[in-house]
Amino acid sequence: MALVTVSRLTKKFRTHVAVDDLSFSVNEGDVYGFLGQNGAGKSTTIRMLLTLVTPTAGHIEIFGLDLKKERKKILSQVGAVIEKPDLYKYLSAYENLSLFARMSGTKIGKKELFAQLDMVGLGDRRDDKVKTFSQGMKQRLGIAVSLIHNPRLIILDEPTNGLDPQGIADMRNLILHLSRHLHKTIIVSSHLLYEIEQVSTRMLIIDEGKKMVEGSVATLMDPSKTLVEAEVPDPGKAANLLEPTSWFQYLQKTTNHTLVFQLPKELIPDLNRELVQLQIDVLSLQAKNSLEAYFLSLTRTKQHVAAFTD
Amino acid sequence: MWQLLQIELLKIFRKPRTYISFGAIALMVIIIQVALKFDGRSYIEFIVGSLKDSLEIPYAHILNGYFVCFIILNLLLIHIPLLIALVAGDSIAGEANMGTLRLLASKPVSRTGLMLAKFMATVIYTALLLAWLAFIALLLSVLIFGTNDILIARNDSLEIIRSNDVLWRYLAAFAFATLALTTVAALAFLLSVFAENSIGPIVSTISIVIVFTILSEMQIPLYDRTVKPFLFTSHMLAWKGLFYCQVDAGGTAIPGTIENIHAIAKSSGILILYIISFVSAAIFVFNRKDILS
Repeated sequence: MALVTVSRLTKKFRTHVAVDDLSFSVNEGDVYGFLGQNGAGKSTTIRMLLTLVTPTAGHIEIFGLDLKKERKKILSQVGAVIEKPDLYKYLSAYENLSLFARMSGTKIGKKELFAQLDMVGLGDRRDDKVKTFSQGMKQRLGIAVSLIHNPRLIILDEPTNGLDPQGIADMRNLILHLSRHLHKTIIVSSHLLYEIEQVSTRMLIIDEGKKMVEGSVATLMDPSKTLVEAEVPDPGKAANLLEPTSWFQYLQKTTNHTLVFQLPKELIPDLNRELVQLQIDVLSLQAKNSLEAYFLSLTRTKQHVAAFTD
Repeated sequence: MWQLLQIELLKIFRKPRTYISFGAIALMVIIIQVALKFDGRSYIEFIVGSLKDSLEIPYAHILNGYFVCFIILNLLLIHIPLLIALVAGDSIAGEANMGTLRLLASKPVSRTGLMLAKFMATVIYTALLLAWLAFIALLLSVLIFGTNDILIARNDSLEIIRSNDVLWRYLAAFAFATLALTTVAALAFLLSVFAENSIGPIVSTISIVIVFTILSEMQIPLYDRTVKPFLFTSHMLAWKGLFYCQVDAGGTAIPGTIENIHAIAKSSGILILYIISFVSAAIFVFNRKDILS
């Protein structure tokens, strides 16, 4: 069952088209990855889902209700963290949580507030002012705020921004916990391919406000298109040595230090043997995840895609 | 709405910046009281001007708590708008700057309700600031200087109001001042909707109040008819009219009267119109605003 249905959504800021005729749907129970580079239109779309930005055209339905007409009813069942979890720095964690719980229209007791703070690991810091918190702690408090009214739908916009590696891992585990154990439907946007791949069941890739592809992660992550980076001392010379062989068809590009191949995963050992036979000194051989390869294949013609591989 | 108002009040009164205004008022009032306690005679001589040469001025009676409070109000009511702007200008822009506006606006409350709650909280802050001023300027002055008849200097004469006819005038003056300062709060509130940080609306409000006050005070006949009647700052000073009594044939103030109550009512009406216009415009703009902060 589709919990969110977005039809032909467009947002223009004067002459700039931030979101262009975008349609997608999120099913109940999905962890829906919303993927795109910075400026692709992810945040604008999410802000439209939360009524922070008014669409220029198009239609949004959430829980089968028209967002324009049933805004309050819908938002009472939605929790969100939008980019940074900015909270009132001069209030304590408990006061912030209590304040937003009251705004959510649900009567929530002290015990539940304490339990929520415990769940995100802030139980022992509940009376401390938010200004003393690290970015990771603020992010966790933001998550607590988004969950306190037990929403059906959780929207996380770039939830790992500004987090250290441990914080990123914690966030990933939290998303998986919410999905698997609490059966929440989650929309999570990110420009980090790996993060989306780790948690999502379905995903949408957008670029310049337009939908590029939507589907299940299992379908999109085709193992026949694994991206492999071979670090070699002289990529130009190595490419020349490969040219007469059948391996050249898999070579996608060369960079200053690497040869980039796209090939079925099971061929990686054979590729390694061939490089050695050709007396190419391989400094490292790294298989990139297939989502990244897929994203690259979709946007290959664009210069900015190099940012994902270099 | 009540819940939203409670939340807004909590935010205002947990913010350290809020108390700057209360501290500043206390400091200014005490400075004036100390100055008048030790050199009040010079100030009265300045007010009565050349009359002191022809009349015997009872300095000890004139320098009483009611008189001191009147002086304080004259000096401070021009400057308090700056303190009001600190909080009102921060109400929306400050939230945008902190990043909390997007969280607030994505909650299941209407934007109009949110704005009304914010404005009402600002009005309560303004009223409390005035109550604080009343407490410290009137009550403390009465305790320090005692009570007596009050001498009011007008353009071409001096007026004496009996001590038992003063207190209600002060209560009315503080109520009027609350209305006047709410107009400034509404202006800052409107400007706050357009900004992403509070410095802009605070400075803009102060600038507008200063420019309008200068225009209101300028003695240029052309402006008297064309500009001044439409400036809210011209009407903010109407509280002084509460201390101008009708006089009998002998020139004595008649207790319980106000010389021109219609002018005060008109000024109140104009200020209310300004408040409604500013707040309506703020709600209109905010309801259509894309929150990108």
